[in-house]
Amino acid sequence: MELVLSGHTEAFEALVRPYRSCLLGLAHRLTGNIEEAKEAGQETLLKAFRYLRSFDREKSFKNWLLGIAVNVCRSLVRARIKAASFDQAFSASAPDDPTRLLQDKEMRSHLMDCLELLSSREREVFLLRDLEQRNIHETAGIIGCSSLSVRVHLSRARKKLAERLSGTLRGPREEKP
Amino acid sequence: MKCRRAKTLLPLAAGGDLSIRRDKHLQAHLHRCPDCRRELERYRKSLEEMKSLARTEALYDCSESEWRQMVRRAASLGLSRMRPSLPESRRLARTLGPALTLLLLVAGAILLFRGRNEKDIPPFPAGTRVGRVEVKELAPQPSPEPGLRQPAPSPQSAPVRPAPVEGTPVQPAFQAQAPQEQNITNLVFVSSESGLTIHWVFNSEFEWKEK
Repeated sequence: MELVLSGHTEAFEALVRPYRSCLLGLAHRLTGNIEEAKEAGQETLLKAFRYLRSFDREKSFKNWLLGIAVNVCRSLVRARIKAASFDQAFSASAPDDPTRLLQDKEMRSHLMDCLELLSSREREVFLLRDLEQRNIHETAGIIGCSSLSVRVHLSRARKKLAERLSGTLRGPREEKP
Repeated sequence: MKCRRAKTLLPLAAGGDLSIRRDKHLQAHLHRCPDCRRELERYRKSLEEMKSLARTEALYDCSESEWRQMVRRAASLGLSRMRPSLPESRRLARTLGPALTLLLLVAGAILLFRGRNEKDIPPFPAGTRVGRVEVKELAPQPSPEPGLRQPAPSPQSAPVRPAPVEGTPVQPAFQAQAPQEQNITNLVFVSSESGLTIHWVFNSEFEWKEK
């Protein structure tokens, strides 16, 4: 970090490499598609480089980086929803690229299907607490909300996922109409 | 704790996210409620299943060349957008500058206010020289015999206004110790007995004439 701050930009790659898979994976699970995950990764790295001087070294660098990634993904998803509502309103949406659709379908897993049930905040909380193994306080710090809010959203997320998974396990015959 | 309350805590209890106090209450309830125990087990299983899915399913990762390109672009764009850090002296000047300006403004306002207070006193006409003389009233002489009242002084025998003698200039009972060229004289008489204060102001056109 000292090297990067003293002007050695090539040291930045070594600084962020340990968090590469975690960063891109989280971005993909939060946004739900590859293009936006790449964009989020790029924007996160850019912001991390720009604001590296303001990073508090007594805190975790990984949590700081994840916090930036969560904020970037949130704004990307918000922009996409806004654009989608605009397209719907004017019925002028362009046809999707078939290659991209195929790529997305390959990456779309059972986990992603389950995550789609959750709201954006529930998804953020669930991914950080249960899959990234951050504790409640760390999750609250990354997302930028209170611990109480994290608990509420985590409880809702687990409830929704349990209902979904138990429904899948019971099979279509046992599902409620 | 009732089942309704316990069921709201079960999702958090499945991941061990309850506080010690609440967990203790919940455990006491679970000990005697098989329904809630089953519910908790269901939550635990679903959570484990999600975690195993996350472990087994491929996590998105870009290619090495893409990653390097992303980092390079971030560094180059970040450098171009980053503000150069100010030297210590300029940073200090930026901090102290507003404070000094404020201090000067306050000092100026105080000086202005004081000046105004002095201006509130109406000025004398131009070229006026002012003298101020305070003369105490002559105290009554102690009577030679105690118990006898001293007769009130008649106007003719008043010491402050002696009878003018022809050929001699008029001499007041007291002499104002003021510069001769001044054209306004202020005399103040203070009675030592009653505290009565009399102010006399003479201007340059005043002429004493005994009539």
